[in-house]
Amino acid sequence: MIVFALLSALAVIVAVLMALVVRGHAAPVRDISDFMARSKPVDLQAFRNLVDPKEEAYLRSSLRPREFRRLQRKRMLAATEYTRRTAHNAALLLQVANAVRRASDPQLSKAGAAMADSALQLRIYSILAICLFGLSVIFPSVPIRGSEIAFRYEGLRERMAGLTRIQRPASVSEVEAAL
Amino acid sequence: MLNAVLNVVWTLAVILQIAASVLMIRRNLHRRFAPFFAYLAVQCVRSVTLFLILRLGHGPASYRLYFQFYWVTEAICGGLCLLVIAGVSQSFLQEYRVLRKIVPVLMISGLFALLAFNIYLTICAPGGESKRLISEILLLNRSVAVMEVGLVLGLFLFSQVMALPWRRDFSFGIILGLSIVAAIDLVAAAFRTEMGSFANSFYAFAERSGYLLAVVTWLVYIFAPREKTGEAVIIEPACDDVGNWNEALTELLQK
Repeated sequence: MIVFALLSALAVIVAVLMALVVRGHAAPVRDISDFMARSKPVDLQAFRNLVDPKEEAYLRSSLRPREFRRLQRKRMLAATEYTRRTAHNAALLLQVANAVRRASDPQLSKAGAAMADSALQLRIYSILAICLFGLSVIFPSVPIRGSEIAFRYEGLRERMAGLTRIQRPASVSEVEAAL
Repeated sequence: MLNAVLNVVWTLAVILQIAASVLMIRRNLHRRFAPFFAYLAVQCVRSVTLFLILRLGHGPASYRLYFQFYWVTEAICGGLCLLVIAGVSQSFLQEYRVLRKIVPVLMISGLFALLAFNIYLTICAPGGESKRLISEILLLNRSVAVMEVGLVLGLFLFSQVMALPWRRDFSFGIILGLSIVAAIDLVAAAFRTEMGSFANSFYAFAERSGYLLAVVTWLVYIFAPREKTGEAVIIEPACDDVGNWNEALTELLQK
């Protein structure tokens, strides 16, 4: 009976996931204002500081081990929050990129495909980084390299700004501020 | 009473799947989704033949023929179903260049994990069927259902975690219908394997109802509009910005 219960549970999980997929994980991004309303801004400068290995090395050398661990835990919790935001924005940008990819203009479509790849890559990195930062909260002494996320996020933000510049130059600064 | 309901469900499913096959041909979808069309065609032939054997045949020879034809075609349909799920998953995920290298690795490791899970299940729960041949067939049937559910579970989970948007086209309908079949089949096969011949009626009812639901899903998605290019751009181009296009595009593509 245990196997029956286990397999039934599997089937129920499939049904729940199916319902989620049919309903749509999130409502599709309708337009640029909808995108800006739903995106979560990331303070890139602060994020970079949090994941900067030099900053970490400096703190490690200048603080007592106990103080460093306490501070590092706080820094990693903040970095996790920023990474969550990048993962969320990457998902939104993936939707935008997929829409742009369907454009009839081949160059625009190519740019959309490139942005979709970058967004997906960032999403993968962000999910891995959230796990790593979580580990770092538990074991703060272990050095973590997370600066790649900030670098990739900046690249993706530039791509989105580039796409906006093509179609809505007046909204570039707003889009950059929303990301 | 149950037999009457079963017959209605079966007949309805046969009629609708023939309609779905015809519609696929008329909308020229049979070439684009050849493995799925083959699956649907085999299901049509199977249902009609089984119905004829059941209605026209008498005696043990007819039962033997029904039994053999049922399980042989069940194995073919199981194999085709796995093939269709793998094909649709691959084409959905390989739209993204980033995933092209990861997808085959993920799929192969997923298949090995499912195989190991099946071996574990077979050792732990060989089932309550007394006849050896039927017991082995049921175990195989349950294993195929586990593989199907495992594949769609992996696909849905991955698309949810990665926030990959599904287009509401026919390939989405195919995977949705097959997920319904697989999930209901898994519960029914697990119950049948556990309870033995006592659960025969439940198994038959669940299997046929699940298939009917799937056929209805496919019919709905056959009419889903095809994606058109040039209509889905979110950021509408502003007419007075034509001068910026080349400059910005060149800059963007150089990155």
